[in-house]
Amino acid sequence: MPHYTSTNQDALVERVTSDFIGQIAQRLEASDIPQIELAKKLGRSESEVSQVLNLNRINLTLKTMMGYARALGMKVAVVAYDDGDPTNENGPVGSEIFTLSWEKSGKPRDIWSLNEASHSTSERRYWIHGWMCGSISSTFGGAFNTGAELRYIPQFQPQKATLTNARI
Amino acid sequence: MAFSVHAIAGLKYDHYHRGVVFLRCDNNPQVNAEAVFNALKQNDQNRMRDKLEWWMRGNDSPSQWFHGFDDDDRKYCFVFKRKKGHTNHRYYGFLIHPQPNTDKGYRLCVLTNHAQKNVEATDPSETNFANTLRVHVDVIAAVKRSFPDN
Repeated sequence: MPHYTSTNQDALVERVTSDFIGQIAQRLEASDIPQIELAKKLGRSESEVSQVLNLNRINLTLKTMMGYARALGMKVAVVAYDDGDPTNENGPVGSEIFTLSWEKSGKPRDIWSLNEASHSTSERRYWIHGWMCGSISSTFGGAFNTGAELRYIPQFQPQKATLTNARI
Repeated sequence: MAFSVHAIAGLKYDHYHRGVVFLRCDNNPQVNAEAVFNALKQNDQNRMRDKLEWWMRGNDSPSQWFHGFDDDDRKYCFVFKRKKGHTNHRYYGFLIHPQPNTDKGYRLCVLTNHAQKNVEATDPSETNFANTLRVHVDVIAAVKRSFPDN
């Protein structure tokens, strides 16, 4: 059976938003900031914030999402990726997976930092298809020509390409 | 009593080290988690699926969405939460490693009973019921049928 977001674009949007809210709720819980304090920071009612955190109100704009993240000292990245599932049979990859992968890579700020992280771990190799731009999978040279924002997208099935044979 | 376990429509099970299923028992209306879930509007079902899959992917918080229990007699109990308006919905169940021989890391949450409540504390009778089912020989057999371990 296909994933519940596979045939319904709204369900997919809501699921992506839910993932974001899950990260916010985790952060709030870990920070010990009361929900009412978060509501004050956001300039919203506690009831509204509660509805968001309980997934009863999830048609959030990017601006609203950014507000929640910033209120908790976080930032937001909008990531496009290709997981080899064009019909979305398997559902989206959770946003926390991207966050954890980035943290595990040493929180690189640019491509060179990411390369250094890979060199510092002899067993660890990054694969060229880990770099993607929109729906275009590309080597570095190609990715820079697309004009879209570049993001590091970890892949679940690493390719054999290594930093030495990749065209950097 | 005839028990069986059932996958939740729309969830993918083959990607994760955790799974959530419903226990079904036609003769016992107290085993009602699946029936209550199925009666939800599609949107509300999907929001529950969001939380179930969030846990299946390895997240252990926020407790606002789900949690286990610390005390020894309920340490295998688990609850997924839904709040709508002023009503708190709880889907209780138990945790089990259904395939200790072939996939010992795989963890399953078998949801059993649903309750509505308006107070913070859990009614012990709800977790007791899930706990009783956890060790029921027919429930164990039902899990084994769906998750063969050899």
